[in-house]
Amino acid sequence: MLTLVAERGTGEPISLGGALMAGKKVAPDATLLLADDHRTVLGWFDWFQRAEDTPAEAAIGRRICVALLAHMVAEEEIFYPAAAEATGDKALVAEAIREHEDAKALIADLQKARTVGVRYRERMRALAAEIAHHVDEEENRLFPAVRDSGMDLYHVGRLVAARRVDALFNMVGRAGAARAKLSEVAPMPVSKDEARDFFLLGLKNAHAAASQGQTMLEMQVRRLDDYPDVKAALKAHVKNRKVQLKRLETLLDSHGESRSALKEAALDFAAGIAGMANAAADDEVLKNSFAGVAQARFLAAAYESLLVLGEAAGEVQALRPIQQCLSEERALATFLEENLRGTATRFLALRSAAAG
Amino acid sequence: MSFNPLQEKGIPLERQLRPWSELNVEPYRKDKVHPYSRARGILMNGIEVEAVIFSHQMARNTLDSEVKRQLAMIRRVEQQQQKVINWLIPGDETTIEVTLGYEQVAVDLTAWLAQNEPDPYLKQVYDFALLEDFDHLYRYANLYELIEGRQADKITSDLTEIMPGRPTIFEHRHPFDEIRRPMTAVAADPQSVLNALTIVAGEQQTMNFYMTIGNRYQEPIARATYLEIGMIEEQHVSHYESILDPAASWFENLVLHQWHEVWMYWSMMQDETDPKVRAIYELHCNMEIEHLQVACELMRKVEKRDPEAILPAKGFERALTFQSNKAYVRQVLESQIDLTSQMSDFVPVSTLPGDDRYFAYQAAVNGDWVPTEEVIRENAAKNGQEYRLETEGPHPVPGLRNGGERKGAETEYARCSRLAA
Ligand SMILES: [Fe+2]
Ligand SMILES: [Fe+2]
Ligand SMILES: [Fe+2]
Ligand SMILES: [Fe+2]
Ligand SMILES: [Fe+2]
Ligand SMILES: [Fe+2]
Repeated sequence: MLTLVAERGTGEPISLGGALMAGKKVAPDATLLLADDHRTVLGWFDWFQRAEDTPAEAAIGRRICVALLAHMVAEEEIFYPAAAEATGDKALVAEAIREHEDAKALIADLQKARTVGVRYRERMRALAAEIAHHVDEEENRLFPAVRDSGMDLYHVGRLVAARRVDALFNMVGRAGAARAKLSEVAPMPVSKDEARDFFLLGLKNAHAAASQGQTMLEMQVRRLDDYPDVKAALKAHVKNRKVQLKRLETLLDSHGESRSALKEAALDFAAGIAGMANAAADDEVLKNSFAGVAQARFLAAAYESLLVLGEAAGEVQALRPIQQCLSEERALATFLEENLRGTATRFLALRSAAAG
Repeated sequence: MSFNPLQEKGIPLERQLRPWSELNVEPYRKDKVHPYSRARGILMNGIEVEAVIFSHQMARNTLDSEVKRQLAMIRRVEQQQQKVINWLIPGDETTIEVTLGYEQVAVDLTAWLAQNEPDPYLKQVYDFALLEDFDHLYRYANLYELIEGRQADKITSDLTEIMPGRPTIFEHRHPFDEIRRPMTAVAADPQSVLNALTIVAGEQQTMNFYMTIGNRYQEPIARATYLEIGMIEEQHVSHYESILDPAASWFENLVLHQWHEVWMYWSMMQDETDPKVRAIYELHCNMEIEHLQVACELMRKVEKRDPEAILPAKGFERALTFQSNKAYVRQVLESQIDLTSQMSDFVPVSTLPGDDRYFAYQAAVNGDWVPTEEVIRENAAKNGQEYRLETEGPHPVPGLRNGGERKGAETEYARCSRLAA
C-alpha cells in the first residue's frame, strides 16, 4: 500500500513528488538526504537540552517526534527495501527496522505525555542515545554498502523525498487555506497494482486518442491554405503528435503490451470529437477549429491524469515524457483558442469576397 | 568560424578563484572608451547577474546538498566574474551616462537578435520591444541634456540614432498582454535559445538597474523618468521570459545557461579592441567551458540524461556582434510603430475596441501627468529644442517628426488614445 502524493495539488507541477519526477525540482542523493535529516534531528536533541523553559521543550520535543516518524516511514517503505535488494544484505536492514521499533515505542510515550517533566526528559535522553547509535550504524555501515552496490541513489532519493513530505503532510497538515479542507480528508490508501492497471489502460486510451487526432490533424493541414498561421502551427504539431505516439508506444512496449491491440482500441475509440470535424460542411474550417481545441484539451486531460496514475503505480520513468506531452497539448490548445477570433474573421472575409 | 565548447578544455574550478587585487580591475577611460566596448561590458554584466540569480533559484529548488555545494562553487566564480566586468565602469561616468549605455545596448543588441532570429514569431517579439527601448534612449538623452547639460552622442557617438520610437507613454499595457508563446527547447533552433537567454539577461539587468539607481537623483523629473521607464523594463522581462521553454528541467536550464555564457564570451572576444578587456573575455570564456562541463556531468549523474542530446553537435557558428543598425531600426519604425499586443499576438492599436483593457490600463497609470512626456517638454523649453540625433534624414514616421516638420500628421496611437479618452 502506498499513499498517493499526486492528489495534493492541481496544475503543474502536481506535487513535490510529481515535481521531482518531472524534473521540476532537483532530486537528492537518497543517502545524503537521509544523512541531512540525521544531522538536523541530532541538532534538535542538543537544542532540547539547552531549552530555557517547558513550553520550548515541549515544542522542540514535538518537532523531533514528527521529523523522526516521517523519516522512518520513508526509510521503511522506500529506502530499506531498495537497499536490501541492491546489497543483498537482508540482515543489516532487519537490524535497522528493529532499532526503529525501539525508537517508535519511546516516541509513542513522548507523544502521550501531557506535561514535560523529569520522566519526559529521561525518555528524550533515551531516544537521543538510541538515535545516535542508529545513525552511526546507518551512516557507517548501511549507506556505504548501498553506495557500493550501484543502487540508483537519485531515483530512490526522489521517492524518499516525496514520501517523507507526504508523511509530514499527513501528520501536521499544511498551513493556510488548504489546511482545514484537507485535514478532513483521510489519507487515501492506493494499491500500486490497481494503479498500474489503470495506468496501462490510460496509456492505451491516450494512444488511441492521439492517433485519431493525428489523422484529423493531417486532414486539416491539407485544407488550411487560406489560414497560414494556423496551418503552420498544426503542421508543427503533427510532428509533436508523432513523437507523442512514439513515447506512448515505448512505454507500452516496456510493459509488453502488443501493438495490434492498440489498433483495435483506436477503431473502438468513440469518435465524438472527431465527428465534429465535418469535411463536407460549408463552415468546415470553423468546425475543425472547435474540434482541434477539444481534441487538444482532451489529450491534455488524459495526460494529466496519467501523471497521477503513473506516480501511484511507481512508474517514475514514465512521468517525464508524459509531462512533455502534456505541455505540448496545452500549448496547442492555447494557441488555437487565441486564434479562434482571427480564424472566424478571416473565414467571413473570404466568404464575403467570394460572394461579392 | 565555428567553436564547440564540449571539445575544449577549460580551467579547473578550484583554479578559477582570483585575489581582490586581480578583481579590482582598472576601469576604462570615460573619454576614450568605444561605445560598443562599453556596451559589451554592460551586456556581460547582465549575463553574469543572471548566472548568479539562476543559480540561487536552482539551489532553492534542490534537495541534494552535494549539488548545492557544486552550485555554490560555480556561483562564487560567477560572482567574481561579475565584479571584474562591472568594475570596468569608471566612477566618473554618471548614472545617466551609464543609463544611455544600457539603452544603446538594448537597441543594438535587440536589432542584432531580430536579424539573426530564425523563428518568425520570435523575430516579431524582438522587433516589438526594440521600438520601445529605442524610445527610452531618446527620453534619457533629453533628461541628460536637461540636468547635466551634455549631449548624449558624447556617450553613444553617432552609431545609434536618437529620436522617438513607440512613445513610452503608449507602452504601458495590461500585464495579461505581455505574455508570449513559449518555445520548446528541443524543437527550437539552437540560435533561438541563445538569443532568448541573451535578451532575458539583458532586460532583467536593466530592470534591476533602474529599480535600484532610479532614486539617486534629487531632481523630481529624473526620479520620475526612471520609475516610469523602470516599469516598462518589468514588462520587457515578462515579455521575453515567457518565450523560454517552461518545460525545461533545472539541469537542462543549468546546462543551457553555461553553454550560453561560453557563447557570449566567445562572441565578445571576437570584436573587443581593448587588449586588457579582451584578455578578460578570453579568460572568462575558458572558465565557462569548465562550468559547462561540470553542469553536463551533474545532469548525467542526477537526471541520467545525456546533455549532448540538448546541445547542437556543431557548436557555435555565429558570434553575436555589436554593430550599427540604423537602416534596420528605421525600417521597423516605419512598419511597426502602431503595433500593440493582445495576449500573445501583435496587432495594430487601431483594431482595439474603445473599451479594451489597454485603454483602462493606460488611464490608470498615466493619469494626467506622464514623466517621459514632461522631460521632453522641459528640455525643449530650456534649450530651445528637444534633443535628437537624426543622422539619416527626417524621422521615418511623419507623426513623430519634430514640431514644424510634422505638418499635422499623427500616429495611430495618438489618434486612438484621443478617441478613447
Ligand atoms: Fe535514518
Ligand atoms: Fe533509520
Ligand atoms: Fe559566468
Ligand atoms: Fe529600455
Ligand atoms: Fe527594455
Ligand atoms: Fe558560468
